[in-house]
Amino acid sequence: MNMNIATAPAATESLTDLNTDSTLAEDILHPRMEVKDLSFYYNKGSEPALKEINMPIYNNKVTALIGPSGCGKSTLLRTMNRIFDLYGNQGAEGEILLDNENILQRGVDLNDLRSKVGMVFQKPTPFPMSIYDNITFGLKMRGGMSKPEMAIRAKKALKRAHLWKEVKDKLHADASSLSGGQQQRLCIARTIALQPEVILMDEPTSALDPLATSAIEELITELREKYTIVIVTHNMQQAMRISDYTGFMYLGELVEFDETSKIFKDAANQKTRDYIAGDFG
Amino acid sequence: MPVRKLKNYAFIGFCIFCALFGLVVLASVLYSLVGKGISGMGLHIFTELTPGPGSPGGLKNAIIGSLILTGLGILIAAPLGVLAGTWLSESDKSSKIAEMLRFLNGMLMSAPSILVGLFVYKVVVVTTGSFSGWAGATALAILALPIIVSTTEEMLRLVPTTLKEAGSGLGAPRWRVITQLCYRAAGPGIITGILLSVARITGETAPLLFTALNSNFMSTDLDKPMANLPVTIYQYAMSPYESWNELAWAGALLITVFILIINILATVLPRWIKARKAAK
Repeated sequence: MNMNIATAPAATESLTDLNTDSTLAEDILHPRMEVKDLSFYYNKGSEPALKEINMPIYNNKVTALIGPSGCGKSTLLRTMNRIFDLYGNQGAEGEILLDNENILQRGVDLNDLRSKVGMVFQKPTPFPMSIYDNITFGLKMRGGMSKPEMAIRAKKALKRAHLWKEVKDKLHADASSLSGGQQQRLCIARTIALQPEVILMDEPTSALDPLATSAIEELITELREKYTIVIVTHNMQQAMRISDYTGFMYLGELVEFDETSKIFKDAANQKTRDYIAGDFG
Repeated sequence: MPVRKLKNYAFIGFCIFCALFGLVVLASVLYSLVGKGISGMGLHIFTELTPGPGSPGGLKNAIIGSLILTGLGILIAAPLGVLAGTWLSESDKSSKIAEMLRFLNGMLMSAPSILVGLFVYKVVVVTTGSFSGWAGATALAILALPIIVSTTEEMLRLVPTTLKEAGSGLGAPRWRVITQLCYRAAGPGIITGILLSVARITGETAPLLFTALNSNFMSTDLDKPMANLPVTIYQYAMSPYESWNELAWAGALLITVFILIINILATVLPRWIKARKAAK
């Protein structure tokens, strides 16, 4: 069954391949999300933390957000699943379209939105329960799935996150018994178990050692085939290694957004060039 | 020797003296309690009812009454306290109502227990027309409540926000995040708070004087006055009869040991739960 899912999109791609190259490019580059004139306020009436951001989030691509501390890159990420809504006095203006629907408007089912737009945090956040229960937590929340179905989904997610081999004999052990890198992969597995459309990652490797970091980076590159990923990172080499598109942010503004290779080799904006050269930040 | 060194020694010496003074007082209380209590201790304490003056007997009815009153008091206070603490921890930091409740809770925590007894006397005993186990349990519940409220709030505030965000991030509604993640993470601490409140109310005498009163009979009827250890100790210790005095010492020792066990449980249990989880 796993095979079918994996081969199906490849088959359609090769069909499109027979047509012209340009239609293929357009086909892949359809934006999964679109940020339009987005401003964000931590307190109503105060200075905006984000100023009229406009950017596309392309389907099945990795988009990296870079910039110095406090530039608003995490804030931007946190508007994309409205996690900021947990805090009363914060507010966003503008639009974020997910499949052409504005997720910022009133009446959006936030729980539904968050199961479509998953999030992985800076520090691994295993829930205080077993590894298996961590994976099925989101599925139980959404409901409508039988126990055997959940078990299949959990196994798939763990395999996809390259954690299955390490945990298959101790699925019912406490999740905190895993190492930091394993915990972070568990958090990713927990997110992809819900089969979201977009995965948001907020510096997912900054609390991990180099070995665990490269495992996560490899995983992100693989996940791109199935998911759309937005990643905030402090590490420019990381952005260069794993992302297709990069947005450079500074003082709450999106200074430049382009293909990653373009940003790092030949950025249009002087500020971007300075930041990448290490002149500030 | 330089003056600054002398000052240092003087200060440290004073601290040691004060610490020793406190310890000596505590040790002598325990010494006389154990010394006098142990001689009256025996199986009969648990099997025989409270006697009349001069005749042999035990504390069975008082022990059972105390267990019922304390247990019932905690059963009333624990759910109320945990939920109130949850509300406080989830409330906005700037919330005026939460601030006020926190302040009132602090006042209730340090309110004289006799006041709580009088309050319940007026509200329950006078309106129902009799002293009763219910009234006693209510008074104890009111005493336990503020401790449970504040420990629950503190423990829940220690739950990292990232955990809550991760829960919400997977599409869990707020109440599920609280009941399935926060309670799990803060569980051992909340249990400790409840146990400490048990220890606190076990020895309370004043609130029971006007509510559960006391009884020389074996009764588990909550609508009637109920025997209990603290009031029994109070009455027996004040009496001129030697046999009663001896029973009072034994009862006091019993309560102290019970509180000691609860306190040890309160520290050991969270560690034990953690160790068990890790071992799995």
